[in-house]
Amino acid sequence: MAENNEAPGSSGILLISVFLVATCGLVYELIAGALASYLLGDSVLQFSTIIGDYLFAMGVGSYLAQFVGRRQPAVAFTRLQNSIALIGGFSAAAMHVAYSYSGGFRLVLYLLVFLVGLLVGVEIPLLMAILKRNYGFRELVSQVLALDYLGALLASVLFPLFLIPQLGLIRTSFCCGLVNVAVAWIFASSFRLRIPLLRAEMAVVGALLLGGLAASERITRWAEEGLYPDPIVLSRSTPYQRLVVTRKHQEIRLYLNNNLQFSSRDEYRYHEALVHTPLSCVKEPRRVLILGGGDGLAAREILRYKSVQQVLLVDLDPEMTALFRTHRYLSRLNDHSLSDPRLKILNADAFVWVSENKEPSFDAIVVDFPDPSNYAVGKLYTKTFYQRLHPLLAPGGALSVQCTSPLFARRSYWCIVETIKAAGWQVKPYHLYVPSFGEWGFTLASQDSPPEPDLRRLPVGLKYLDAAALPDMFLFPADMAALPSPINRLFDQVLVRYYEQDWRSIVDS
Amino acid sequence: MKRRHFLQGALALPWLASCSSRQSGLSGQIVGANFALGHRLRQAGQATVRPPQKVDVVIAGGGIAGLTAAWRLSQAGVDDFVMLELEEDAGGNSRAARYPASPAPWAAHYLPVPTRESTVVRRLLREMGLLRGSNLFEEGQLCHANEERVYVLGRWEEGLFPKAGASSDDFRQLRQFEDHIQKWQKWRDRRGRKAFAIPMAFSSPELRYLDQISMAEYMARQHWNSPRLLWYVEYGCRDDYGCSLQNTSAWAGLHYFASRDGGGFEPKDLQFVWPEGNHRLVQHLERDLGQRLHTAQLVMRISRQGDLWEVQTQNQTWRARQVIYALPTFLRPYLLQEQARPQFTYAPWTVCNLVLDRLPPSVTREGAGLSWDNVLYDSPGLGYVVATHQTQSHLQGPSVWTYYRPWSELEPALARQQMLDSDWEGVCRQVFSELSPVHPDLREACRQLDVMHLGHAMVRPLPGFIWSQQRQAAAQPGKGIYFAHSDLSGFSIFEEASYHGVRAAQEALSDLGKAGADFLRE
Repeated sequence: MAENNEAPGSSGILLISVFLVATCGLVYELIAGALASYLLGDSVLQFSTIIGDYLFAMGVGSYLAQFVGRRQPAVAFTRLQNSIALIGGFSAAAMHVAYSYSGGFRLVLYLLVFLVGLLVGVEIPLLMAILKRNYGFRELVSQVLALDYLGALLASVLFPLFLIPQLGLIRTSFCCGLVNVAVAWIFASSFRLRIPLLRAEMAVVGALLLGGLAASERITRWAEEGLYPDPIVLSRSTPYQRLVVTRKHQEIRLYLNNNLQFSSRDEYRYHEALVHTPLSCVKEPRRVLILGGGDGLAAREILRYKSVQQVLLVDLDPEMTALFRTHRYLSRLNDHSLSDPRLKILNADAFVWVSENKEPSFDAIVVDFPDPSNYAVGKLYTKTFYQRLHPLLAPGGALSVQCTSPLFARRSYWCIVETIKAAGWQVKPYHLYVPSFGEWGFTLASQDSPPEPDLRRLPVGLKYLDAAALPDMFLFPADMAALPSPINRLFDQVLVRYYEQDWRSIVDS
Repeated sequence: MKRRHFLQGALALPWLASCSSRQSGLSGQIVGANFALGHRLRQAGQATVRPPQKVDVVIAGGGIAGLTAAWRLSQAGVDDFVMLELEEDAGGNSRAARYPASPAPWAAHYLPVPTRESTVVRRLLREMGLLRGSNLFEEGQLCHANEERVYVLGRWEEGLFPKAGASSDDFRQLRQFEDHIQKWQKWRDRRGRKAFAIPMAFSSPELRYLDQISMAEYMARQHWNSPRLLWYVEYGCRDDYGCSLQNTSAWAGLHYFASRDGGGFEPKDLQFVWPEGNHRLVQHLERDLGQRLHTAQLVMRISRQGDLWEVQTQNQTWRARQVIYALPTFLRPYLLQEQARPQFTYAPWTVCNLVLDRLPPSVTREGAGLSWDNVLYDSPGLGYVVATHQTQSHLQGPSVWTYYRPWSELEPALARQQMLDSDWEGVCRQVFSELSPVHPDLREACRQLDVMHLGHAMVRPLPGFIWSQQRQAAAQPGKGIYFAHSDLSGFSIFEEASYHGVRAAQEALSDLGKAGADFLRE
């Protein structure tokens, strides 16, 4: 309790504390702003509200400062530092986890920002009260404020240029927490506060932060896992995408770049509709082309036809096809279709491949690409691309294209249909309900006469497609009915813009 | 890098082709002008080894002007010519680098859809099957969406004007500027000539007064002071001319924005883009040259000997009835022994090709997705162009990025000295430090970085130069000698180079009594 015997030079230490406290305080604020922008989008809104929240909390803190540490300001300051270290240091990790595992991300976000702002707000007046003994009022205010703002400058420069690129958000927040603990420790020792409990508190917080820093990789992964509803059984980053397979009881799900590709529970609906609709238009299909579809599930359906002699699967990612060919669970899902002697795998960019191959050698083509969420994938939905499919199809052949949801992304769906039509195809749009996806749409297309699926050609053993389901797929109720749409061109991809707007309106509502 | 075409002309200075250091897995080198030969231009003429050869026409220079001159001669059935090129490849500023992942441009990397006046380019594109009749394009070779994006305040935005953080006054001035440009696009003089045509020879001379002031002065007189608008307009000047606003004539600055009118096609801002840049056009132009193209030939002297012209290279003398001089104008005092030193000045550039094992994950950060042209607001370089933009439909695989740096803030001579002094490691450091705030993971994805310094990349349209007497006089033919180079237009774009190439060839044909169709008008 040696509150009164100050060490020489402690006012220097106090001023450095102001500087470091200001730097760390602003970094916490920037972390919250950046994280909210990444996760919620609309960075202007996020930054404005977070800055407002933080400044308001600082105001509240400054007001409350008059009631804090009247008798032992140095002890109060050390405890404050320690609390900031704990709350601020864990803030990024806490927000990540809150986003992944609870619906209350915004609540946690604003609460944490408020708490940190409140504590920082108490801190500066408290420091001024301590410093008052060594300085005159004018000198004091100007020195403290100058250092406070200088710290803010350092933070705002360091944050985007060094901290984010080198450390990332979670590590940055732990490191700042450690700086706060260090300030507390140095402060306490320069004031010779020999209070065992205080030291123990600092040691615990420091240890927690170091532990958090060491585990930050694992925390990131854990937070990511929370984005998926089921336990992850396999995750892999290929040069082309991030592949995640989850499994719960008997249900296996595949996610590519966080987007659900299929659930083993109902994927038969999707793949039966995708494959049998075009193949039943063709008399004795012999050669079939699959573009995309590296999971081998469309191939499984194609290989049901006795007449099929050859299947060519063109998929970008060799790791994806290798995984679904060799992995125990996954190859069981596709009935080992990727190891079938009738199937050949070619790992190539479909956009390039169709431009270089013009042999009319396929009786049916199945086009199964990811949704057009960016301009790169969007090329696979352009008029030019569909035109380049013409020479690949043998006379009397048929084509099917996965076209996203006609219900959630109605404009996008009809834009794709119109584009296929504009590329010189006779089209029949169709859709069905896939529980894990919702209402899903496709386009059936052929060259000379309209495509006519023939029920008699369907292979035996299908679980969904039958005499009752087939005609139904071609009927569109009013909320999915055709919309007039411009076509999607390479140099002007309206589809990518529609797609983004359509899905954003679903997510926001 | 919208609207950039550099053309012929890297003969220039001896560049040190320093070899790579291989620290931390990055290889690469400074490639470029054939300096071993270039050095010898300043030395006295050396005895040539082989006996002189005779030919009808010598084309000195194998850039776009030389190549289009050869193309025009061949169309007229004149086949007895040779083309002399300093480098290992023809093409000048339209040369390309070849990497396993993709070819990539060394400089010029796109061609806007030609204007109606651009008859030479239209004819060429028809020949290549890119333009059928007069209205059908091969869509796959037009620039795919998204064309360009700009990085500003930590976020990518579609388009080139930096919108984030702009004030309402910034937007108001941008709208005024755009309306102003539209007025110039519609403007015609009494004889129906455009204000700013491509080729520039078809422009109305009534607006020559605009050449007397700089673009900076022009902007000031319109009360345009928005920093963002000034950046945007200067970006155009740096991109197409390698010049700051102060060093660009207002006529040239307005020409950049008002001249590309889409030639009657919609939308108006379409352009052809190829992975290898404008080398696609070079491949077409040089396909029939065969043995007539002589590379690694330094033209050292061009002189009149009786009725013939004698063209001397480091190891061969050519005697010809006619010479098409398709080299930069500033070399004329050296090669033709002319006393007058024309005041043609040239902007230096550094171009880098970054060979990437994979696209760095940061390409998909915040905002608009990877585009063909990716620009950083308020940055010394012009950004980077993605060679695989037209060929890939994914955002991950190997790629090549071409980074452009004009030295518009320095006097050209000083910039050239700095380029000479800089080594490969220094350039790598500069490039990565400029791009790392946006792509902190670029360095790990990059396997090879090649650098090309172009000492005299493009002629500079300084105020007063474009409509000067000396520029126009430099294009006048002599007896049996014809001048072809983009610098004769005062700025360096494919359309101007090909215009002068065809013009010079037609002057030569006319003197041979073989004047045929006028490609410049139909």
